[in-house]
Formats: sequence, C-alpha cells, structure tokens
Amino acid sequence: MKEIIRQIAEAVENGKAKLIKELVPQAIEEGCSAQEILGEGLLPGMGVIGDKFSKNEVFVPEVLVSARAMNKGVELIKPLLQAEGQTSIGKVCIGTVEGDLHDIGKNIVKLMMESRNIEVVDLGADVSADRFVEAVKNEGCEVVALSALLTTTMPVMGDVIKALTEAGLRDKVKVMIGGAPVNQQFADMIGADIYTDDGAQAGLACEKALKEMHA
Amino acid sequence: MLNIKVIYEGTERDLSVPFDSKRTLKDILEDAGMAVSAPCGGMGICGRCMVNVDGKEELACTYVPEKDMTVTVSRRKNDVVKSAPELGELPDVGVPLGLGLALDLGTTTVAAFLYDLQSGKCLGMTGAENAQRRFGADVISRIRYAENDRKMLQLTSLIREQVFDLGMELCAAASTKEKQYGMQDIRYISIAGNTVMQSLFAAITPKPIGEAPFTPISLFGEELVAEPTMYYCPCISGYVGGDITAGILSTGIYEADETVLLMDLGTNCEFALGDRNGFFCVSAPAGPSFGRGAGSDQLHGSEFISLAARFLTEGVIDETGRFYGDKYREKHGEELKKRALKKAVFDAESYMKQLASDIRSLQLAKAAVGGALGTIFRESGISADDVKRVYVAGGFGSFLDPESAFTLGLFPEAFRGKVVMTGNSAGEGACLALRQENREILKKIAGICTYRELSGSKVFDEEYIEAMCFGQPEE
Ligand code: B12
Repeated sequence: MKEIIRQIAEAVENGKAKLIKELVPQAIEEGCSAQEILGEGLLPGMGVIGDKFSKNEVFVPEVLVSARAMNKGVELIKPLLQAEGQTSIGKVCIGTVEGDLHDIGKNIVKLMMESRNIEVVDLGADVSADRFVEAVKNEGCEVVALSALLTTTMPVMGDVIKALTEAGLRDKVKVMIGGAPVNQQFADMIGADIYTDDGAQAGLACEKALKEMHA
Repeated sequence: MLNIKVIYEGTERDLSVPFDSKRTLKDILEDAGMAVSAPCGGMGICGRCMVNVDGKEELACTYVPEKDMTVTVSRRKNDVVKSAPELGELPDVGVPLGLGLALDLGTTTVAAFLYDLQSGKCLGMTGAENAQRRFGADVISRIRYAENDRKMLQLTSLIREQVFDLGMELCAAASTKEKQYGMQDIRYISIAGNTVMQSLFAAITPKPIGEAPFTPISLFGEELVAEPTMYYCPCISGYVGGDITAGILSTGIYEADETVLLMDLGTNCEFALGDRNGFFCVSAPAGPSFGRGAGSDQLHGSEFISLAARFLTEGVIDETGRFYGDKYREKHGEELKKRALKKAVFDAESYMKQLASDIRSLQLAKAAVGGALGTIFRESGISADDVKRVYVAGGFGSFLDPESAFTLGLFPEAFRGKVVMTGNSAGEGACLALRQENREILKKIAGICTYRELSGSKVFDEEYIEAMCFGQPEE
C-alpha cells in the first residue's frame, strides 16, 4: 500500500483532523484516486477504531474524534468521488424513535455504517413512525435502523414496523434495531430483522444485509 | 418437617419447611414475607444476603437447609438511613394533635418516621426495601410497568400497604404500658419522594414522565385534607421531585447567602445550584453504576467507585477508561486466585472483560454528572470556584468516598474542602414537613427553583463528551 494512504488511515485512527487536511490533498496530488483514499485510507482507519470500540479498548470520545477526522477527509474528496462515479453500497435511514432523545449511540452506529461506505440518511432523534415511512418512500432507503434507550420507548420500534407494513413497504426493507435495553429476544418479538449490541457490529451486519439484498 | 427459627429484625418466628424441599433459605424467608436483599439476583456472588445460621455465616441465596436451625437475619446498616430532626414543641391548646408519620419514598428503599406532633419528638423510625422493587429497579421501569390503571393501582396498593405496615410497626414499638398507639392516632402524613414515587403513591399515572417532554400530571405541594391529612412535598419537574425540595429544606440552603450546590446522586442524579434568591435545577441519568449492586461483583456502586479510583492510581485503567489486563494481573493477581478458588468454573479473562465493561458504564455515569454540572455552570454563569459548599445526598451519594470521587474526577478539584455529606436529607425534609411553617417554606422553595431540561441540549452534549475522561482535567 502507498505510504500516504497508510498515513491517512493512521491519522483517522488517531483522530488527527488537521493532519487529514494536509494528507488528503497531498495524496490527490500524488495521483491517488478518490476511491483509493476512501476505501483504503479513511474507511479502514475508522474500521480500526470500530474494532477497538467493540473490544472496549477505546470509548465514545475516541470514536467521535476519529469520525471528525474521517468526515473532514470525505468532504475533501467528495467532488472527486462524484466525478469518478463512485457509489455507496446502499442507503440506510437511521433515527432514535419518538419520545426518545438519546442520540449518542445512534450517531456511533451511523459512523460505523459510513465507515463501510453505506449512505446514511440521519433523521435525528424523536422521530415519528411516519417520518421513517416517508424516508423509505422518498429517499429509497433499503434498511431502516431504529435506536431506543428507554424501556418506555422500546415499544415504539414495534409501531414503526407496523407503520411500514401498513404502507406496504415492509418486505422492501430490512429493519435493524438497537440501544442499551434492546436485545435479540425483543427484536424477535416485534419482528425486526437484525439486532446487534454494538455499533461496530451494526455496521458489519448492515453491510452484509445490503449485499444480500443486492445479490 | 424442618423447624427453622428465624430472628428477623428483632422478632422471632418459627417456620416449618418440608424435608426435601431443596429450597434456598432466601426463598423460604421471602415466602414467609421476610425480604432478603440480593442485588446479584441470588447468584451467590455479592454476599449481601449473608445470614447467621447457628452461629455460622451463610449466604441465604445458596444455602439449602437440611436440618433444624436458628437463623438470624440482621439488616445491613446501610440499607436504611437514620437520623431524625426534632421539630420543636407546640403550645398545648387542649386539643390533642396526635401522631405524624413522615415518609421518605425512595425508588429503592422506603423510610418512615413516627412523630408526636405535640412535643415534636421522633418516636421511632424504620425502613425497608420498596415493595415495588420487583417491578423494576429504576423509575422508568416502574412507569413502564404502570402502563394501565390496573397495574398502576397494583403498585399504589403495594406501597400503601407497605407504609401501613411500617406505620403499625412504629406505633407498636412506640407503645408503652401506659400509652398504646395505633394507626388511628396518625393524623398527618408528610411525603417526600421523586415525582414518580409520589405519583404512584397518590394513584396518579406517572406515564407522561416516561416520554418526552416528561411533564408530570401533578407537581404536588398541596395538602390533601383526608383522614389522615396527607401532604406531598412540591416537585419541580418530572425528574426533580419532592425529595429535592425536601433536601433544600433540611439542609437549610434556601437561606444561603453564598452560592451552594446540592447533588443528589443515584441512578438518576439531581442538582440544585444557587442561593436564597434562586436555584437552577437539572437532572441527569447516571444509570446502573450509581445504583445499589453495580459492578461485576455487584459491589455497592459507591464501593465500585473506590475500586475504580484505585485502578486509576495503579494504572490498571488510564484516563480514557481503557482497562489493562496485564496490569490488573500484576496488581490484583491475588484477587484472581482467590476468586478462582471460590468458584468451580472461573475464567479470569471473562472476569476482566466484565470489569472493563463496568468501567465503561461507570464512565458514562461520571460523564452524565460532569455534563450536568458543566451545563448548569455554563448556563448560570456561576463557576465551580464560586460554589462555597457542596451538599452530597442520596442513597448512593451518602456512601461515596469523596477522595475517590476527586481521584476519578467525579467531583471537580474546585469542590475540595467544600463537600458535606448530608445523609438522608430527603427523609429529614419529610419530617420537617410535618410542621405548617416548614410547609410554607417548601412552597417558597418550589417558587425559587427553575428547571432546565438537559435532553436535546447542545451544551449538555458537549459537556458530556468533555467529561468522559477520568481524573481531573489538565488546565
Ligand atoms: C447520556 C444519557 C442521557 C443524555 C442523552 C444525551 C444524548 N444526546 O444522547 C440525556 C441527559 C439527555 C438523557 C436524558 C434522559 N435519560 Co438518559 N442516559 C444517558 C446515559 C448516561 C448514557 C447513554 C449513552 O449515551 N450511552 C453511550 C452509547 C454509545 O451507548 P448506546 O446508546 O447503548 O449505543 C450503543 C448500542 O446500544 C448500539 N446501538 C444504539 N442504537 C442502535 C441502533 C441500532 C439499529 C443498532 C443495531 C445498534 C444500536 O450501538 C451503540 C454503540 O455501540 C444512560 C445510562 C447508561 N449508562 O447507559 C442513561 C439512560 C439511558 N437514561 C435514562 C433516563 C431515565 C433518562 C431520562 C428519562 C431521565 C431524565 N433525567 O430526564 C431522560 C430521557 C430523555 C429522552 N426522552 O430520551 C435511563 C433509562 C432507564 C430505563 N429503564 O429505560 C438510563 C439507562 C439511565 C438510568 N438507569 O437512569 N440521558
């Protein structure tokens, strides 16, 4: 691998946004393609952090700092990516369900998905079932990811699934759910397709699901 | 049948159990209506259900009686907090005032205080684990359980029956040959609890408190004339309840000329910052680490804080919260060996993994406190240095080792030398609320408290992430 690409990966891992701002343009100058910078530098750097997060070696702040560095890099190569016709592997909408304002976990899941080259439409927190349905209709999202941190708002995830069914969209999408009080048993009960208990696994599971859907 | 003589809280009872029941002592005691605290869920690891069987210490949750025996159950001293203020004597106007019952309704424990309303003297106090506890450890779980009227009323009757029992127990204990007391002598009941506990006691649905924007149906603070008359301390919001206004009353900080801070630490933490002119109140959820029985060993949350502080000093964890297994083996190898001996199957790796994840959850709790403090300081324009005194209250706060709290950065360095452990300030406030003049003060307190919602606050989010590292921040 090219030295500069390796340095980019390392800078993301260490959360060095400033360094990224220098390294990415330099890589472009050296003739690296945007796809190379993204696929071999920025995303793998974030991937390392995701793994460490899963293993309890790093925590929320480190993930957020690395994400900032990654996003800086993505911003810089965006025009080039579009020119190269580089596309993501699929589209997801994510949100914390209605009545619930906890979004830190959801944001981490979003980052882990982005680090796997998945396009994520972030609906924010306190999102009504209708807004999820609209996002699927209007934005063509293939996976709906729901987060809930309160035992009182967990049942709302079931309501979203119902709303998707009523809108006739249930078999067009995969629904994944998560959040501290959620577990596999609950996912089975409300008929969600995927549950994972941390963000890094969520990214992996989503990638797998999208690939299966496109296969 | 086996005969088991039980000495429970000073009273003796005889139980008969079939020979081959294979039931644990804990189950047997609980069936007979005697609560045994077992935060680890009866796994035989926390040691909190220790009882004395014929002079030997045994764990009630694993011990299966196979012979006749005498069991002594003594309550752990930290289960119920004890101190009751004197209310001062009232002039005798010829009409007997009767008794007053003050209640501190905690999510985990309930304390009751019996007063002679005339003399203002406390005749006795007692406490027990909240009878609603098996329907959830925190308020959100109780709200969830009370989803319909039938289930809510079930929780209401549980707590009311429990209070009745505690009242009877106190009356009986206060009775002498000359003077017999009964529940009919209780003329006044004053109650301090968080908004959810007060709602459940009053049979008002707590449901709206469980979802944004968390607006309770009642903020209380009024007297309900009934027989006996009931008074609930005023609440400020869904998450800053009557226990906080009661605490502001009993600590006397509503009269403070200088800036003071009241911190009630528990699974949900409440903060009141200000002086006699007004208080800013916020609440922040810390989660299970700040409860009873947190941590891998189901250590009391405050004990786990001390352990974590030690880890930080020894380098077993660093300030980012990363846990170093090799360092743990080096410093705590003996501990691992001891554990391995105690258990048939013991996997050191998975034990350490659990420790590492407990540290992470403590880190979230620490960050929630730091985030809340950071937010009120930033938004009130008051700095941590301006604070002259810090009152630490709450079931969790009362057992906290302040030194460990400083080491971990749970208390900012600016609080050094200012921390006062207030014990059960809510309970004392409830007692004071038996007097009319103090209820007037409570009304004033409710009037000068302003609540700031942290959910959805950008400032909180920043301060929360900022506060996630252990130790004191470098300048
Ligand atoms: C921070 C926090 C807050 C902050 C939230 C800030 C924010 N912007 O998110 C604030 C202060 C606003 C808050 C408010 C409240 N909170 Co709060 N909060 C917490 C706290 C301390 C940490 C949560 C967190 O950020 N964790 C870190 C992240 C990284 O972990 P995570 O969210 O679990 O996400 C991971 C996984 O679950 C998974 N995941 C998450 N989402 C998804 C989605 C998918 C699709 C998948 C696959 C995976 C996945 O991946 C993530 C990364 O690994 C917890 C306690 C705790 N220790 O958990 C309480 C806690 C969740 N809160 C609680 C409560 C009660 C409240 C309040 C009601 C109380 C109050 N005082 O007002 C309000 C309610 C607000 C609302 N309507 O949502 C309770 C819930 C209890 C219960 N039985 O439900 C908790 C458990 C604390 C407690 N025991 O008291 N809270």
